[in-house]
This record gives sequence, structure tokens and C-alpha cells, in this order.
Amino acid sequence: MQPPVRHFAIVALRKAGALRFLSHLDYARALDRAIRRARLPVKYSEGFNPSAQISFASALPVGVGGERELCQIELERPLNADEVLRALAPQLPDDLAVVDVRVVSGRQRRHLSGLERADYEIELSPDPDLGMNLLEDAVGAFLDAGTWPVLRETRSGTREVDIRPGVHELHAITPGSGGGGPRLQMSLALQQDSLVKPSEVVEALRRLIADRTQGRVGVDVARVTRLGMH
Amino acid sequence: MLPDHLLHQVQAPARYIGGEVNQVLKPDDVPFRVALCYPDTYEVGMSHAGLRVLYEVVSRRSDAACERVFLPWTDAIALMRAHDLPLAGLESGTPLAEFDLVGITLQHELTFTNVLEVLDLGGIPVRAADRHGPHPLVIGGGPCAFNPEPLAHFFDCFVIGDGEEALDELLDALAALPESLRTRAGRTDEARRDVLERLAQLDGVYVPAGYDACESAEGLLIPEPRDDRFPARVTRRVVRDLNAQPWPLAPVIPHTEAVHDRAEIEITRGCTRGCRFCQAGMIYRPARERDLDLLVEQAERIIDHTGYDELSLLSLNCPDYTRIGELIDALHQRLAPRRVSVGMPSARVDTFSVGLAERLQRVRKSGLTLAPEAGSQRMRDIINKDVTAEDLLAAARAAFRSGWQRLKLYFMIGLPRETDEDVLAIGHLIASVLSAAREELSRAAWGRLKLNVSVNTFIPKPHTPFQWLGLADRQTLERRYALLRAAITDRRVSLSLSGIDAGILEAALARGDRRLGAVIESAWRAGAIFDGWRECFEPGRWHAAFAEHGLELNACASRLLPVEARLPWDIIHAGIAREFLAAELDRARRGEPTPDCRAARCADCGMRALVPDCPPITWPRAEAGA
Repeated sequence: MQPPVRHFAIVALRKAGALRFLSHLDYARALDRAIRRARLPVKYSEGFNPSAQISFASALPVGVGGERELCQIELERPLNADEVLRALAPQLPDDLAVVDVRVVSGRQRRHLSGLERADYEIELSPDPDLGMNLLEDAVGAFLDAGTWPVLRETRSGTREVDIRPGVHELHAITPGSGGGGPRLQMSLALQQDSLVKPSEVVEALRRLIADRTQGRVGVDVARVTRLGMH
Repeated sequence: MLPDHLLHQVQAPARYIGGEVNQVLKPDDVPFRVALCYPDTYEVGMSHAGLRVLYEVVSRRSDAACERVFLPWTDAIALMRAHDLPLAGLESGTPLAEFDLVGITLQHELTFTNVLEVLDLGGIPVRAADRHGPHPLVIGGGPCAFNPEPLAHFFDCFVIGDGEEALDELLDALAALPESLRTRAGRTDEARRDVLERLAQLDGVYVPAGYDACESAEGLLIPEPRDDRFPARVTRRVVRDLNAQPWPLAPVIPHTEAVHDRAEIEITRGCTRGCRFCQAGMIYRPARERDLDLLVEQAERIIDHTGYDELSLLSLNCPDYTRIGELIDALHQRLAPRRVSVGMPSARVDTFSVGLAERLQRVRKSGLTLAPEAGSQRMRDIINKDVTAEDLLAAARAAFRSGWQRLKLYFMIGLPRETDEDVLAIGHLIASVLSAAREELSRAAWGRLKLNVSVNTFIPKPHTPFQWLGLADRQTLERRYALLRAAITDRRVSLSLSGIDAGILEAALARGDRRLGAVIESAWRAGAIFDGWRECFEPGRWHAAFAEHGLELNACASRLLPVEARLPWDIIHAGIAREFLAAELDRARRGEPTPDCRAARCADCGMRALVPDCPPITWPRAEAGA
């Protein structure tokens, strides 16, 4: 028997400003309530405690912003993207704004599980000792390394993981004219088996820079933003 | 309040960022800036309905802005102190010291040190006497303001009773003041005193600086007015018609999950069941209701504006609402299609209430709570809890038959004239509930059965018939808790017992006089904060603070007061006549019941002097216990 046709809205949201300090759970709850205020015809699960069928691409850590955070909302009936946008946008605060909406109908149940990479931008705090040459040198050394083992805490204890294969791109960018420090842009693996966290890449660069300056120069992160997932 | 780099260093940073959906922002130039503070964490404070109502009262005025203030957790406090950052309003980040009014709600004695921390962290001198002209006026309210004396040193004034009309009147009175008194900037100390004297003329406002604390024959400090500008007694404010009072239809939605995170409508206020231990049942009389149609309308609007999927009915006793069955059905009809579940926090111990709970929980079934309060009939007669063991068993059977496998039961120990046998009776009662469950439940459901039994220490509170009695002494409490633990061994029962030390402190603070101000300040200076949180509460600090001022904590908690003595909280007239409280204490001694005046005749509690048409609600049915 063929699975039924389902209707989804795939919504991209911008999580910015102070609202990047919402935990993933708080963010999910905020979105759930906004969807209810918008009175979108959301599909609910069966059973004793029905819940709205909303799922997310990947949780952001507390304090990290997102330019295009994705969620899928299953609808009772098909709507066009503009209808979803017009209903939902006024219900969200400025720092949790809808970027765009697309709708999809079909037999597929999961539309966000195929995402492989996440792009991040990390702004560092300005530091006269942390020049672009030093930063670029550290970035180069990291990219040249064949492996980069890090220790990860898991439920079953500490485990060694090689993050190097999961770092697809890494660049250092000169500070913009509007002040602020240098930035790092990176494209990191998102799939469970090869996932890399931006904080792990920063830690690697911190060690490389410490090695090059006898521990004199540190790396202080001002802001982390996930630019998108694809 | 905290810059980004510090937000990264604290637990649950969303507590400190503001900008929630439905917060009300006003232009910078509004004449009055009012901070409303719940002196505990964001999650606790954002759960409090009273604060939301007052936020609505202030925000809807064109001349005032209202902001929320909570006490940051200890990690954030340490960072704020290290970086010299003041406590500020969540809406605009304005430091607390720059508000015109700082209103602090006093819901529990174990938040008293938090009050001092809030003021100090906000840059306001903790003692009212140390404040100058431009400092904000610090105003207290809530149930603990019914004995304001322990906090008298720290507040400029207290508003006693229902706050909706009183706060509006207070702001009106300030708005009518001449410029030199009204404007904070440049106000002289003398002008500040003048403002407070004028506020003391308002009904329900107590200005402690206008009263000298004089020692009575019993050694209690009794406030006496300095002169005739200060009333001999301050009478509690009572709103007559709840329908005419504002209710927030678009409440601020907390960022991070609050203790009670749901839509709420207040169906009744006050209760005249007359449980003799219950302060709320004495100080919020008479029982008043909102109209059914208005409640249904409010519920729908709140859901529209919040997107909550849960609605809770607020009342001291939901089943006492005159048309409760109709209300539940009307709410269910409107809200079930929107997948909103309706819950009732308190259920009376009878089958009628269990039937109501069953009708309520058609969308989602949560737990059911029953509060028999005491184990033996003798004890329930003493406290005037109109419930029998048969009622409880019938209610429990009905609940099990309706499919509940989780039941919460509330009891108290340390009640007046209690014996060890009365405590053991709690064990017997639980055993009978278990046998009832075994008979009613299927084998599988019996296997899943969970009884959560919560036992609290009875604390004598001002303005109740037990106000003259002391807390049971420590050895007695320890023995009775141990007896209870030994008597209840079934693995289906999970027993949650309140801490004895916290109860002793609560009792000492609840019936304290003005001497306790110095004790509270000493404890706070020694590091006491979040005393209501087990991980922060250290009894040793409090014993030392009491000793430093020549007092003994246990003795203060257990002190028996003569019925004829003048009491520190007599300055507040809650509406209940002292003769009634004394007569109730006598009836308790004889184990005589006092029926609810809504169903029987007036019990002469004294409220008629305040509310001529009291009781505003009577029940046509013989008794609602049907």
C-alpha cells in the first residue's frame, strides 16, 4: 500500500539578536505558539497527547544565531507558500523572522533529513595581536593537517573523533569597515556520523595560534552565526 | 541587563533578555515608570497571575510604563556584581533605581532575603530610611504584606489586599501631586516624606515610617501611629465586582518554560469554606466570581493572543464556582477544536469534583490532586476541613474508574492538638486508597499506579484562627515525619516531605514583629538568598542572625501568644473580626465545624462591615457537595 500524500510547509527563519539565547526547546515552543496564533491548519499526531507535527533540521546551541534555520510543518490541507508566510510572519518577533517559505506535497515524510553541510560565520573579538597573517597561517595549518583528533563527551564516556574530514571549507576574512574583529567562515559536516561543531574548529585554531605565539595570543569569539544548511 | 559576552556565561540566558511576545513597550517620555518585581527567578515570577494583572493595570494607562523585574540566579548575580551592572527592567533595560515606583510582590516568607538582594542589586538602599528624594518609592503587596512588620524597614509603603483599584488610585494620587513632589529627579528628602504622608491617606496603604514600634506587655513590637496623619488601622482593599476588573488577555509569554506556562482565567477569588489553617481562605473573603460568558470570552482571547495549548482555571476551589459544570462544558466546546486542554489545579475531595476533572480532561489527561489535609476525622474537625475518609475513598474510586493511575494527595502535619495517632492515620488512609485502587483497577493499571503523597508542615499564619498558636517544636516534627516515613512503605507511594528547617524559618518570619527586619538584613548580609530553594538554603545563617539580635529562631517559630495580646499585624484590618478568629480557635479546640456561609447562615466573620451585601454569592442547592 502506498503511503498517503502529505502536505508540508518548509519555513526558513532568522534567529538573531537577543533571541539567539533561546535554547532549542524554547525556540521550538516559541515557533509552536506562533503557528497556533497564526491558526495554520497544522496536522497533529494521534494518541493520548497529540502534538503538532513540526520538526527541525538541527538544533542550534544556545547563543548561536541562524540566518536560515529550517523547520518543516505538516499541514492538514495544502496551502500556498504565500498563505503560510502571510499568516505566520506577523506572529513572530523581529529577531525570529520568516525568511522564506516553500510548500511541498507528496508521499515523502521527511524533507530536512538530507542536509549534509552547515555554513557558519564566526566573528572574533578585535585583538591587535591577532593579525590576519597569524590567523590565515593557522587556518592553512589546520587545512593542511591530514587528521585533527578531538575528544568528545558522549553518554558512554569520552571518545576520540577526527574532525578534519568534516571541515569542507575554512576561510579567514579581514575585519569589515564597521568595526569588529576578523571573521571565520566555514562549511561543516552536519550528518550524525561526520558532524563537526564550529566550537571544535575554533578550539583547533586557538591551539595552533597558541603554538605559534608561545601562548601569548588567544582567540575570543564574539558571535557565531549559522548562515545556512544544504 | 547582561551584555552578550556575559550571557554566554550564565545558565538559561533567556531569563535576562526580555523582548517576549506581548511585552508592552512605552515611549521614553511617559511620566511614570513602574517596575513590578517578583523576587524570585524568571521561571517562578513569570508564573504569577497577580503580577500579570498589575502589569495590565499599569500598562493600559497612558501616563505609565510598566516593566518586569526578577531576581537573577546566583551565577548571573555574581557576574553583575563583578562588572558593576545594576538590576534592570526587562522591557527597556532601565536600572531599577531610575524607576518612579518599584512594586514587589510578597508571596512567601522565604523570598524576604531576595527582596533585599533585588533592591541592593538595583542600586536602591535596602533600608527605606537611607533612601533620598530621587530614589524610587518601594511598595510591597501580596499575602505577606498582611503582616508587614518584618519588612517594615525596607518598604516605603505597602498596599494591602486586592491591588487592581488600589494601584490605579495610587498612580492617580501621584499624578495629581505638584511637580516638585511628583518628579523624581531633584526631589528633596522632605518632599519624599511629604509624598509618603499623602499616600498614607489612601485606603489600603500602610506607610510604616509613620508608626513607631512600641513594646507591648508581651514583649512584642506593636506599630503605633506617630500622629493623626496616619490611620490607626489600615483596612484591606476589596474589589466588589470581578467582572469590572481588568484581566490580561495578551499576557507576556515567557521565553523559557515557566513553572506554570499556560493561559489562565480567574473564575473565583476568595473562599468561605473556612479551613482554619488557611490564610488565603481568611484574607481574600468574600468569595466572588466572574460571569460565565465573560470567562469563556476571556479564555478565547487569551488563546488567540498567546497560542497556548493549555488553559488553567484559577480559584482557591474550582468546584465552588456556581455554574462550574456549564463553564467546563462551554470551555470544552470552544477550545477542544483548537486542541486546548483545560485544567483545574485544585479539586475538592468528592466525587462531584472528580466528575468535573474527568469532563475537563477530554483533550489530555494529566494528574489529579486531592487534598484531605489530615489523616484522622478528629484532626479534620479541628481544622474545619469538611471532608471524611468516605469522601476521599469515594473520590479515589471514581478517579480510578475513570482511568487515572496517578493521584496526588496533600497532607499537613504539625497541626494544632495533633497526636502521633493522627499522623499514623495518614498511613491508614493511604492504605485504604491503595486497597480501593486494587479493587477498581485492572491488573495492568494496578501495576502502573502511582500515589504522590505530599506532606507539608503546618505553619500558623496571621489573620487565621491559629495565629496565636506556635509551630510544633522541632523534636515533635522530626518524630512525626519519621513515623510517617516508617508507616508508608508501599513502592507505589512516593512520599515528598517538606523540610523542617525551612518550615521553622517560615513560621518565625510569618508572625514576626519589626525586630525581624534587622535579623533578615543580617542573614542577607551573611549570604542568605533564595531561601526557598533547597540548594541555597542554609539554616545556620539564620540561627546566627537571630542570635545576633538576641532572639532564638526555634522559640520565635513556636511562640504561643495570648488571645488577648495585641499583635504586630493588628495594624492591618483584613476584614475578619478578631472575635471571629478567637471563636474559631475555641471551636477548633472542641472539634466543632463551622459551615460555609454560602450554603448555610452567615458565620459572622466580620466581612459584612466591609462588604455590606456579603456574601455576594449564595448557593441555592443545599450544599455543593453533591
